[in-house]
Order: sequence, then C-alpha cells, then structure tokens
Amino acid sequence: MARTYQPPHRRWSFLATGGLVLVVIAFAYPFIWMSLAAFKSNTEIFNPNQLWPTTWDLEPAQRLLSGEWFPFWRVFFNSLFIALTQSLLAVIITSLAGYVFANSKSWFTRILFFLSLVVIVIPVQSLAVSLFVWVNDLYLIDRLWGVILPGAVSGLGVIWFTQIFRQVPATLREAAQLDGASEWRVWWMLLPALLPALISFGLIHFVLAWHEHLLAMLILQSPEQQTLPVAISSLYSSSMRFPYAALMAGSVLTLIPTVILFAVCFRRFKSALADVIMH
Amino acid sequence: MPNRNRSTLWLLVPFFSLFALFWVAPLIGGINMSLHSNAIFGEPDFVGAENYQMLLDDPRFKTAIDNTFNYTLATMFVIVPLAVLLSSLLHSAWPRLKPVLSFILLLPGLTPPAVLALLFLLVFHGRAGLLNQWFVIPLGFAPINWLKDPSWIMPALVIQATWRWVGFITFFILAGRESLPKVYYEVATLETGRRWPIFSRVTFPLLQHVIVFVCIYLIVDAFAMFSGAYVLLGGSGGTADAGLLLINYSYQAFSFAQFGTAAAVSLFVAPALLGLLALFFFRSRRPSF
Repeated sequence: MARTYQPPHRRWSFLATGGLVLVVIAFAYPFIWMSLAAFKSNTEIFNPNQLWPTTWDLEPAQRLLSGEWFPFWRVFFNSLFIALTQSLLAVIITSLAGYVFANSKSWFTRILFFLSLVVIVIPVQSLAVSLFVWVNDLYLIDRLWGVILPGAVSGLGVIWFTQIFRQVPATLREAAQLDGASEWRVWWMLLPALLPALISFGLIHFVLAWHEHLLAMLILQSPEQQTLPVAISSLYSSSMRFPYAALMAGSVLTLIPTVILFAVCFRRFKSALADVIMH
Repeated sequence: MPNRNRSTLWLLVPFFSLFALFWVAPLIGGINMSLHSNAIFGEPDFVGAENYQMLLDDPRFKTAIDNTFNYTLATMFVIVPLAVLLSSLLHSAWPRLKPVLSFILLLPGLTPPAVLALLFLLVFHGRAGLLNQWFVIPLGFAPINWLKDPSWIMPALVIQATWRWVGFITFFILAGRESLPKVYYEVATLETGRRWPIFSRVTFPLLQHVIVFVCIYLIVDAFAMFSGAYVLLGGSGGTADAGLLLINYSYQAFSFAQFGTAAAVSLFVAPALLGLLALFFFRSRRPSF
C-alpha cells in the first residue's frame, strides 16, 4: 500500500489524535461495559453506572455454554455454517455475474444488471412473508439451506465485482482467450489476482449473513436449527430471575467471530474498498 | 463472434437461477398477496388495489412516511458531515494509532442488531442511562426520557443510527481519500498552505462520488432495512407513533398477520428507491456502462 499523505503540522496531528481518542472511548465504552457485565449480578447490571463487577461470577457464562437455555455450540456452529457457506456462494455467483457485466455491453446484459440493482432496493427481507410460503413449498423450511440460498442473492456483490472486473486490463482477458480458454476458465484464472476484493466482499457478506435476523427467525424454527443472534434475543423475554450476565456473555460471543475476521482482514479490506469506490 | 457471446452468458446462470428462485418468485407471491385480503385461514379474496387504497387512507401510514423522510434526512445531515470530519481527523492522526482508532469506530456496525438493542437500553435508559448521566444532567438539564417522550424519540433514533453507522461511513470516506493521488495535495500545499481551501477545493470535490454512494446506503438502510428500527423500539412506533417508520409499520402489519398490507408497504416504496438508485448509476461521471 502506498504511503499516505502526511500533513506538515505536528500540532494538528496531536490535536486530531487527542480528539479521536475521546470519540473512540465513547464508542468503545458500551462494549467494555457489556464484556464486564458478563460477570455481574442482576442488581449490578441494572445500575449502568457501575463498570467493574464487585465479584467475578463465571457461573452464568458457564451455564450458557453448557446449553441450559439453548444448545449453545450447536447454534453457534449453525450460525458459522450459514455465514461461511452463504458468503462463499455469494462470492462465486456474484463474481461470475460481475465478470460478465464488466465485459459485455449488450442491451440484454444491461437489463440484467439493472435487475440485480433492484435486489438492493427490495431486499428479500421485505418479501419475508411470501418467501416463507415459497420456501415451505420447496421443502427447505427449518433447514439451514433455506436461509443460505435466499441470502446469497446479493445485489451489492454484483455491483462490487462489476466494478472490480472493470479494472482488470482487457489485454489479460484477450490473451487468455487467444490461448483458447473458455470464459469459465478466464474467470477462474483472474481470481487469484483479485484476492483482496474477493476476501473483502466475502467479509462484508459474512457480517450481513451473521446478523440476519428476520429470515432466520421465520425459516429456522426448531431450537437446534436456530442461529446465534436469534437464540440470544429469545433470552430477553425470560423472567427477572434470569441471570442477565448470561445474555451479556452470549452477546459478547456473538460479536467475537465478526470482530476477529475483520481484525485479520482489515488492511486488505481497506485497499479493496478504495479500488471499488474510487474507480 | 456470436459463439463467444453466448458462452459468456452462461456465467450468469448461477446468479440468476438463485435470483429467479429466491427473489422473483417471492416478489410475485408478494404482489399477489398485496392484491388479496388479509385472510390467515382459507382462501384470501382478490381485492385489487384495496390494500394500497387502505394505506393511503390510513393517517398512521402518512405519519410513517413523514417520520421516515425526516429520519432519513436527519441521519444524512448528521452522519455524513461527522464522518467527513472524523475521516479528516483520522487522516492526520498518528499513523501507529490509525488502524486501532478506525477499527473501534467500526465496532457498532459489526454488532448484530439484537446485541445493539441491549446496548441501547444502557445508553438511552430513562434516568440512569449513559446519555443522561454523562451529558444531559452535567449540562444542567432535566434527565430526558429518551424512549418514552414523543419529542425525543426521533432524536434518539438519529443518535442510534449515527453511533451505528458513522464508523463505517468514515471508513468508506477515508478509504476513498487515501487513494486520491498525492500529487494533488503537493500542488495544493504549494499553492496555499491553509487547510480549509485544500479541503473544500480538492478533497471534497474528489470525494463527491463516495459521498453520494454513502447517502444512497443510508437511504436504503432507513427505508428498507428491518434491523435499524427494530433495534430501539422493538418494532413499535413508540409513544404517540413519534418513532413510527415505514419499516415498523410494515412489521406491525406483518405481526398482526395482515400479510397483504405488509406486502403492499414494501412494494409501495420500492419504485421511489429504485428511481433514486437509477439516478445515481446513470448520472455519475463514470457511468456503469
């Protein structure tokens, strides 16, 4: 990555950093509070001004992990499976489509491109009721694939990869075609060069799939097919005697996979994002 | 070569078969539902445009449209300038701290809506909430009941949207900014050493593209996404419907099993959003095709 432009004044840089640190503390505070609340008693949790727990109680978290309220690990891996397969599938199908849209200029592909924009404006979530009926007809109700397949139709992905493939030099593609490679093969051969963009979109889609609430709630009905965010939010309605620390622990665990993935791919994500939005 | 052309189209098959199966089919089902009565049991009757007519006659629908409009404008006018400011600060912050700072700003956007709902209770809680304890009371005001007082529900919604999205928008703008050619800045610094002209004459015009893009994102989020509105008020409109957005309206119709009405709401706003998106894609200097 190219070195970024550095403004000449150190005092300005000092002020900027100081101001940002204040903003960032305000942003991070709720998360710190939540992590510490996982060890608190209910009375302590309902006093939001108290940050540190008086005693560190590990029991609620242990009860959560042992599956007292819902099969935690099963549900965790459901979420992971859905988010991983869905983002892989979305990357494959939308990069194929993006490859075509970037290279073809016929009226037919223009119409198809426009259709894939419509998906952004009318997300499948807003069609939830009829989707539910339809998924039921397809015998996909209460199956993980019933959530994975509808979610993989990503208009954002089509735009993303159309932009990305447009930056690939045409000579590269023509050279491969002269060698007699089929379009599938050209697409496949271009992928390694586009790895940062593939990973970045996969990442965005992973986060969206991991957060998906409405479809998962409607389509996955039995307790052992649930996803983590849905299972966690179903704990809300429990009684006052319910240890809220378990809810906090669950919330922290829901956050961890996306945070780790983002932290690992952070730099790549940034450079790929610049490629997509600036070109 | 017609042969080549046809073989290219095959690459579209995976995407568009899923598209047809899991988007077009439910869409047709939705249109069909919106033209039928809200029957749960037995065959719903064909009612034509009655559901749409009912929406137009419902004063709550008008409230929802007004609120959504205000909410969208307010979030754009708060988030975008703030994100531009934050990205400027990040841009000139100490390079070592930069990744950590921008990553923490992203955290709220990485948090599932269900968890956000929990955190917002902490922030907006009646008396003991953080906003009251840290800002409102120290500044000498009476504590605000953010989620019950009708005149504060909308500001609360805007604050939650800001907190949630400003990091992402900042990140977008920053990524765009750092990919701008350095030469421009070298010239501008030679011409005028001052920061504001460089920002207003160089950075801002060059980032227009990104700024339009993030505005579109915020608009689609405000109109079409389920999670944002659900987070704070649990799908209801709040006291006196002061926080009733279109998406809550549709969700309520949905949870009262008025499927026809719910489908009609989604389809009602779609053309407007689509027009907006088309405007963006066919207006831009570098058109999509």
